[in-house]
Amino acid sequence: MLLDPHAGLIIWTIITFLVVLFVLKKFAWPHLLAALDEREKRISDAIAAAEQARQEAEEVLREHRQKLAAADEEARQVVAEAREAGANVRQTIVSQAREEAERMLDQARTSIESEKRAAIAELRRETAHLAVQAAGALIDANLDDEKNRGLVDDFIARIPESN
Amino acid sequence: MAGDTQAADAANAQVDIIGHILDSPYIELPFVDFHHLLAGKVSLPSLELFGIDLSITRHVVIMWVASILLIVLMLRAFRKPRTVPSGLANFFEAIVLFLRDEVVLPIMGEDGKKYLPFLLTLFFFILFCNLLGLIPYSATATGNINVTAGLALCSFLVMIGAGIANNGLFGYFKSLIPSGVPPVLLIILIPVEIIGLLVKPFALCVRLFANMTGGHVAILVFLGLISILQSEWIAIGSVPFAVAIYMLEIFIGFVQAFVFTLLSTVFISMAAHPDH
Repeated sequence: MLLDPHAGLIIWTIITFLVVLFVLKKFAWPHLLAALDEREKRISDAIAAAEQARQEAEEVLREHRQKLAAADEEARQVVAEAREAGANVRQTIVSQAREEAERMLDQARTSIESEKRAAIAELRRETAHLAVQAAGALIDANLDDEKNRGLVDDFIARIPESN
Repeated sequence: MAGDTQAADAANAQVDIIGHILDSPYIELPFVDFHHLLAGKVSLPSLELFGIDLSITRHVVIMWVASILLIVLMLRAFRKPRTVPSGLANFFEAIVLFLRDEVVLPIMGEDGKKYLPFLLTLFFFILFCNLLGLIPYSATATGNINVTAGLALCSFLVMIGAGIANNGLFGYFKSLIPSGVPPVLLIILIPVEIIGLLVKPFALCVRLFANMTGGHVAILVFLGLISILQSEWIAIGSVPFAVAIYMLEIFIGFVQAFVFTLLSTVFISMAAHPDH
């Protein structure tokens, strides 16, 4: 009895199944499957976008690190250069100052020398003048004395050429 | 007198297991009992066309109820395209996703998308018939071999159709017979291959029928023990057993719908790509 064939029921089953298939295929499955596909696409897109964003961020980070390192290096270089330049400038200034001092010293020395020479000449002139005056006075007093004239000549001869 | 009454009660109380499982030209409804005239049974119209008995039987009605239920729920869930599913749609979607990603696409590849509507409908149709059969006063349409034969036939036709569509009419039937076989062997091989082809839908048909029938018989036998042994104390043991089998039946309802769909997928795939 359980296995009795019944063609009518088979036909009804097929008809019912086909109707259900038709209705669901027309109204339910396309929406459902499209929604699944769309969601999957959206998720995979989101993942791809996130991955890309991550890569971009990494790239930017790498770039920034590079830039930072470059800036650091540059700053160090600038400082080193400045230090070197400073040292050079100091060297120049010191040597210039030394030269200037040397030059001034020389100048002072020459000026002192020439002053001294002038002073000596003046002194000599003055002395000569005084001597001449003294001699004049002496001559006025005892020019007639031959012996005194000899004394004056002797005195003048005794004055050194320069001291 | 008392003995007669008891005998009559016993006869009434006999659980008609096979009658419960078999198709019948009436449906049973609770509370429909016009002065004991109907006795809870509503007759269904009989119909005959071209010499074929096309009567609307109980299993046809149950099948229709299952179909209407399926269509109404599906349309409620998926009438409007939505990206974020909710409620009922979530439940259906989980099943559809599983069938699509774990069964159909791995077996058939991208090609499977074409057969997806058919296979999904097959699964849900069988599932709804299976589960509806568990409700009291209902009947299990899939526990009738003619219903399962009808479904297996649909599957078989899709299988042949896929084979012919992909390989051509001649190519498909040629692919059934392994190439490079001595002609003498063909005398044996051709009938074997034809049997092999027909066994596939037959296996689908019998597996579903036997599983659905078996579970129901088990439930009824456990409950029938109460009336057969004529002691309500038996209920202490047999009702929990019946409930346990009922739970198992819910699970089997899913599993058999899945197995039917899975095997249909495999058969269609084999027909479409006979070389592997």
